[in-house]
Amino acid sequence: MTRLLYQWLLWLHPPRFRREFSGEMLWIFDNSAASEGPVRLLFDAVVSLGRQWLLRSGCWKIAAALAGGLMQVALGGLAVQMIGYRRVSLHSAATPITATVDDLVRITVFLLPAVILSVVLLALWIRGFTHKRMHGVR
Amino acid sequence: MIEDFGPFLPLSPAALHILLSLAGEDRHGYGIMQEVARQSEGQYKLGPGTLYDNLQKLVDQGIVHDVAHKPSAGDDPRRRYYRLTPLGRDVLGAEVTRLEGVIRQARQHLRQRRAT
Repeated sequence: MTRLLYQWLLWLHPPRFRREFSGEMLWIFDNSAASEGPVRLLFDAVVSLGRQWLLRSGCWKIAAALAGGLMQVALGGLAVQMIGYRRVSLHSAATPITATVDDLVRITVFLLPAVILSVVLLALWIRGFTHKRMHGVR
Repeated sequence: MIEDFGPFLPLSPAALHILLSLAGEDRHGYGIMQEVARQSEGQYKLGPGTLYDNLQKLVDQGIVHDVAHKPSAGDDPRRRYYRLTPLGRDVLGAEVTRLEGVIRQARQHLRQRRAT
């Protein structure tokens, strides 16, 4: 059962790593599960899985971009909410609260430099990070 | 001509232990894990995930390469042997020299501290 689980964890690794090393890793599991304990080896495989996908395969860049995008959308939503809140406090409760074209333009003007800045900073950070990884064993 | 190994140094503990275990002879993955545990008297244990992650980087950098090994009776075909390249040997030498410098400095500072 634990061997099957370990095999499945290996199968989930990125294709290059799986092709190169899954056979040897399974061989080590077969030889050392009794002495090392299968739980330790399973934990190691889970950590390895995260490391290979997030750090080595470059998927973390997509995850970072998604997180950045979600943050911007959340900030935009927050800004709309704040404008709406201000309107409620300024007008009577009966006044309909709708975002006008003016509001949307204002939000875009607010967010656009932030979006550009975050994309530029993220690109610079990714460049520095990949450069460091390419040129050293860490 | 003095070569610059700066881009490779300092080595991570895992990479250092792997290179040390390969300095004497070619070994397969499990052999490296056992040798690392032996060298560190059981204080440092490499898991297969950490081992192969480091081996992949070391192979990509040309510090280690895998070698065709004459299979003996009872050898599992899944086993692959790894060997230090000449570059790997130089990088390990440079790291040992660097560590000697660190230890020298540490001893000196500790001695000064005791004297005051």
